[in-house]
Amino acid sequence: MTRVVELQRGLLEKNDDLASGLRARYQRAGVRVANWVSAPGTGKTALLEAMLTAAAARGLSAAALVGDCATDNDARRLARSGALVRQIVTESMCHLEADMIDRHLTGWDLAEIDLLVIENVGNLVCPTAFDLGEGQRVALLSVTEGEDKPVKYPQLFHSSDLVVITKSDLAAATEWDRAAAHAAIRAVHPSAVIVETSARSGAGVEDLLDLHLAVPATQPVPSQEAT
Amino acid sequence: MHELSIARALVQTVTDGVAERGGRPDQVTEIQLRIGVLSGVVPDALTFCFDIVADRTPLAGAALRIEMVPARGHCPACLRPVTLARSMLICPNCGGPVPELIAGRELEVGQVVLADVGPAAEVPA
Repeated sequence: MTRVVELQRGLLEKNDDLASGLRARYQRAGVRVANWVSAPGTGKTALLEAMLTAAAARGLSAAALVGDCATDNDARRLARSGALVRQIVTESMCHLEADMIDRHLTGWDLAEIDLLVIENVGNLVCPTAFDLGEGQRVALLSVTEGEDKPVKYPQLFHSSDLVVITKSDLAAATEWDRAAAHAAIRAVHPSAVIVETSARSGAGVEDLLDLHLAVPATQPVPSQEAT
Repeated sequence: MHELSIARALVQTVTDGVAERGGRPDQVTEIQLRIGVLSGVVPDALTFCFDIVADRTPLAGAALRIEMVPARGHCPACLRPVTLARSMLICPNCGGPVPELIAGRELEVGQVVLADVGPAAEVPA
């Protein structure tokens, strides 16, 4: 004799519930929140430092949560921008989850913050499954990576409305094919906004900041689940 | 390897869900899962992690039955739902972009099968 129980339940419901709670908190506080995801070595931290510095120059209050498997090296780099910064050491975990964000926001007055950027652990696959309550997911791709990466890792690029090309100052040296890279992004996300940046030259950094501020703090984010 | 986190969530979801419905988690023999091809979860890795995580829990020994859900979207040009090749959000009929997914990102528990041996305490010795 067997008995069948119809559970019919999302596996990440607990994370999704926590993320929904965070999203409501961000909305009440009027803070814009972005979740940056890329491979290790794409240049997230250098670009984030440049963008946080640009935000400070505009008189904005910015904050960053930065995830890594070990060390607080990135947090120390980012703190030079004058932004509020906290490191999340994941102890070898390959992605951030909503409860980690929740714990690391303790003591921060979100209403005093204009822009919060969460720099996820360098990984193109794992972070995509976990909603952190962000208003905008941002995928980053450097010109030193293959132009076809969006097609190889469609989950991330499909779920990111903003795609940032980094290290554009190296484009000529690496013979980066702009048309091929844009076509690969469009193939998995036809309506994605694409911005090219260089942390070294500063190109595109102000545009990137504008794109982060353009997202209304109250913007709902599409659910992880297909509807 | 986020399948380890997902496996932990799976054990929690099934243990809680079965108990809430008056079932005993230690009687679970089979768990049906629906995994979308665009969910980013590798079925073999999830099965591997589940066996490790479920060991020493009431769900130890339960089998996963995984159904992969193909990516489907609505083609705005063809005006109908289409099944997509694994990674491309491109309509297989007209080659145009398919901006909206209907299916393919699922990570869901469906049915859970319990070996019903009646109230365990009352089984005759």
